[in-house]
Amino acid sequence: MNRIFRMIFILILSIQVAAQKHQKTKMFLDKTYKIDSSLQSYFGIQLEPLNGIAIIDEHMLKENTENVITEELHATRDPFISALLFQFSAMHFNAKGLARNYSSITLNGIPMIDLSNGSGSGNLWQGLNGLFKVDENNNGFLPNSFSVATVGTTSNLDNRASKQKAETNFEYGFSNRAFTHRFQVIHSTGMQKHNWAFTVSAGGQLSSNPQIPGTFHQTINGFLGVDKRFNKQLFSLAFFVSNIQNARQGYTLKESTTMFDNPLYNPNWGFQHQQIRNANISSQLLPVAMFTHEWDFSNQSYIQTAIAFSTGGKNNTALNWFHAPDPRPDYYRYLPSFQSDPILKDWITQTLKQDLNQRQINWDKLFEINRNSYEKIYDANGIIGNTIIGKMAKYFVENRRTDSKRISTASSFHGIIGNTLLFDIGFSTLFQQQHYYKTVNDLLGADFFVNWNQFAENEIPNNANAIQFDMELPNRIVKVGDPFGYDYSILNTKMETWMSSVLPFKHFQFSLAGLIGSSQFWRIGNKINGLFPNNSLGKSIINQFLNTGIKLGINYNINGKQNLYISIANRSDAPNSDNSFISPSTRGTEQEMIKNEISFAAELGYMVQNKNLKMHASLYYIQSFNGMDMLSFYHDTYNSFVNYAISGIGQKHVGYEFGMEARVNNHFSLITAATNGNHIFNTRQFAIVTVDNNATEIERDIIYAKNYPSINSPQSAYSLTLNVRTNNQWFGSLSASLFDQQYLGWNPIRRTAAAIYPIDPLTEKGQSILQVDRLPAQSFINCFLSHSFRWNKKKQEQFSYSLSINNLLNRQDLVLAGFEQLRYDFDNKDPDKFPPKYVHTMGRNFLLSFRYSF
Amino acid sequence: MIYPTIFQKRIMWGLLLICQFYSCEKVYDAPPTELEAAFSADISIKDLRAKHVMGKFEQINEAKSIVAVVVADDASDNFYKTLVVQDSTGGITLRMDGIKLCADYPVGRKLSINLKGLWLGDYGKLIQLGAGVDVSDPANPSLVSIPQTLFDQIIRKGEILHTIPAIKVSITALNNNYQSRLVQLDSVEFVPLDSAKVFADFANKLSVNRTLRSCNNNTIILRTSGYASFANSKTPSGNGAVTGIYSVFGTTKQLVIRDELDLHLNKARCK
Repeated sequence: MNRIFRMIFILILSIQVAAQKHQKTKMFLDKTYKIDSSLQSYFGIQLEPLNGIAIIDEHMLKENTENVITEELHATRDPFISALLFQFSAMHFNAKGLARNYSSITLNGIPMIDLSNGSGSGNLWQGLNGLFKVDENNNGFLPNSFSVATVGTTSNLDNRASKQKAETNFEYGFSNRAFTHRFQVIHSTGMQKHNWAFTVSAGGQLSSNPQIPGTFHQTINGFLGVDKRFNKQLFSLAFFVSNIQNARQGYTLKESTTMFDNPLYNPNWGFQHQQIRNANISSQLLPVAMFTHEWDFSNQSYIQTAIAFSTGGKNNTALNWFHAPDPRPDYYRYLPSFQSDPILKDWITQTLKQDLNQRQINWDKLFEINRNSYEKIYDANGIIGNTIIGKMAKYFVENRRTDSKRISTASSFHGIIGNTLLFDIGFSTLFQQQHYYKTVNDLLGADFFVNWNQFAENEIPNNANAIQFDMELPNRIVKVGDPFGYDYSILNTKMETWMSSVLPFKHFQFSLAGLIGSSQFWRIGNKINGLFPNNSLGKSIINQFLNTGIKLGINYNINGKQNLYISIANRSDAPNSDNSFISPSTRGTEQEMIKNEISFAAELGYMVQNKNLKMHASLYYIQSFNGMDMLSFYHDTYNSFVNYAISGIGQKHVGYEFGMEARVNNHFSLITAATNGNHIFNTRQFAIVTVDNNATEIERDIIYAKNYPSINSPQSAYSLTLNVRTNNQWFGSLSASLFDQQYLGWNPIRRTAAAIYPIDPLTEKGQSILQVDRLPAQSFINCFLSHSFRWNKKKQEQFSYSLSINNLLNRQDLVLAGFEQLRYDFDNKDPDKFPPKYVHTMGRNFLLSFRYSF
Repeated sequence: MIYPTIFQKRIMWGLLLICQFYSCEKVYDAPPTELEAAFSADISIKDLRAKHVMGKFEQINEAKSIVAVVVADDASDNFYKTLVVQDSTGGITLRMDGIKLCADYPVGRKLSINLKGLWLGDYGKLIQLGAGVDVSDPANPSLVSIPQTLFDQIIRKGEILHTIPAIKVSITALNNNYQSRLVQLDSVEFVPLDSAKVFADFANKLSVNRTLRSCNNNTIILRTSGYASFANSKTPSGNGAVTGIYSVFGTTKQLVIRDELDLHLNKARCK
């Protein structure tokens, strides 16, 4: 048994061949090998990413697409990427300080991204990760065969039925993390005699007693895959769906968590008739159907073509209120800090501590208020003289829906030309339509709501129709399920042709990759908004961009086991639609200057691969210019929502990454990883400020952003992992990780002259406005234990189980992330009036998994 | 055709179990309408007001409560962060640090107000209830409004009455006993200079005083906030009844209406 194990271990090490040539050749020669080399199958058990925490983004009007729990890709050959996935993900650590839209995920060659913001769509197959085999998972600086990534990580996944191991699997997991129970059944036939392969899987996750109060998580997923081989052609069909529901955790103020002595205090829920109810529930149902064709026309070359369709939607629920006090229990006016009288501070503190209905949402009270809310609506439903009398909702729960349609295609050639040149070339086309609108989820005991825009009431003296969301049907009475509010679509298309080539010589390999493509986006308004009757309905201008990218690399193979490489890249990327439209819910207006973001990047790396040592060390440098962003929030001075259209964002990310896996002996191995970077904004940014309700330009500001830290990921992380393996199939792992240099997500609005004048920036008060808080260093200790055995050595039947415990020391005070609120006290320049908000990591948490396969 | 039967069975079994897991869609119960039980007062508003010495502040330390009905809320924004309540003996103004008070405390709602810890004070001799005294300007101490978080602690809510009779009174008879009570003045009209004028300066959000007079030329000020939803409407020119909350500023008698429906000025003016 020990010998078998050693062989597997050596085999895994051996595929970590340094030269890309080797890796690639291997891929062509042994295609069945590549799909099974993941850590996952190595451990025999699916590992759970650390602390999948659902968070809510408070940045008003900005829907955070990453707040649903995303399971990370879980296989890699690079010791640093391995640490990134298993240790550093606990802190939502972003490698090189880059946002996720710098990384690429392709599935059977198709880029799986949300074009509106560039983020990956990994949660489309949440819970099904075991079937999405990692074909390639790489540092973007290295040559990749399915895309021309430059800086982030890049992964290509393969979900075809014939690539799955022929077995039947039952998995059960029990945890106190986001879910309590997890269940998954997978049956794969493998490629059968008649050249058919089938995979079917179903499963789900359910939480019953979550650590974070008021949250729940529920997933149900399914997968169906059919492959048929005709000689050198492989036809694959795959259908998968993951229906996700999350009741979310809210960001909290330090004041609340200290007062309640509970870092996991969650203001998003409350009791409704003795039942726990969360106001912020996100859900997603986006089934995907894929067809993939692979043509292996020679031993060394193949063409892969895939087409994917996806249609469905996402939804986030939220409380809405009209002519009524703010129902959120942590609204700043409800907290002790709002009072100056110490007796009242104390009185409020005691009240909040003692009365759960005061510190959580008091649903019963909202019902009670709605029940007494009789209103007369004149000219209802656009009919003159039509008067409706009834209970008009002062509070209700709304659905913020995004319905999507995506059609994506990709085709690529992978092969060797003239015996030496490794060559990949391909193109992809992506089309995405997203329809944004709201519907009424629950009227909380009222009879109806009227399709009015409460934030536009102040405009009525100038514009009697201001509050009408739909001028064609004013005063429309809306009931449960009815659409109301904004209604528009954003369409995105992207086409790209790319190539990647490696020319290997004895000691040097030269690589060249490039891409050229175009992208377009536009808005289609479906309603005439009373605020902007002239530019709310219909098609906006079509924005067109040319995208280019080039990447050059030289690898020096020192002695077959050591490699030195340098890679440089330059990209020009179109801005995304989320950062271009100033207020897409009401109008088609865009930022004044929409330009491509230009980036330059370089990496110098050294890799060692031998029997006992795997090491990768690198230095990186990334500089980007012309970034854009859109921020919207309530501005106290203007008594209105305002939009900050920010442009000219430049960022510089410099640092090192180091990963090493050393085999001490047959039983012990040690993995260390370290990264430390200096990730800063290094340009002054420019903001045009407009009033959301009437598009009046009120300010043009310079944001003094130079040398401010990049946002929301620690800039340094270190980990040490000890793996122990026994001869009788036990595996154990103990790891410690440390994160530092994490800063609050800082508010650009506070770094403008308007926010500080007339205070001298050099005074203490000036500094309190300008300085960014650095979060304390955080450390975790995690452990993992697994065992597998067979009852009957002759049969394939295998049973395995594992236990993973994270945050072993049960540290409760660890801050996962924090940000300064955008709302700022312009009148008194008091940065503590709207203090920062935080989200904390879970205390000690575990996952116990069982797997039975035959 | 492909799967051995045993596989099929196991998979079906698994699927069934999963379906069982997830068939439960969350449905929330609507809470019942539970109004607080009928409550009784420990002290009348008249007796409460009697504890106040003009210009001073008094804290109430006994666990006593008044039972009152809301006669003015902030529905039209003519009252701001203020509720006016009365019982059969008198009225008082509550300083409430919240907006849209009318959602929870509309006109007509019966309230029981626990006085323990609250403070009595006056603003220009208008007696008010608050939650503290702000002495940040020692020359002009002022009453602190009741913080919103404490509303439910201090105020218990009762049923909503649909009609509250106003006390009919003449301008000359108005005195401090009528403070913060709903009163009705009959046969009054705006003086010619203030007839058919806007109630207040809506554009600049400034309050404006208009003068009402009776046919025998007794006058009283009708004061309207620039934030009132009807501030831009014109005062009627006719004569008739005006209902409103009686208020004072020093020795000036004032009437504050809740909305335009408080004016019934459609008769012929005084000769």
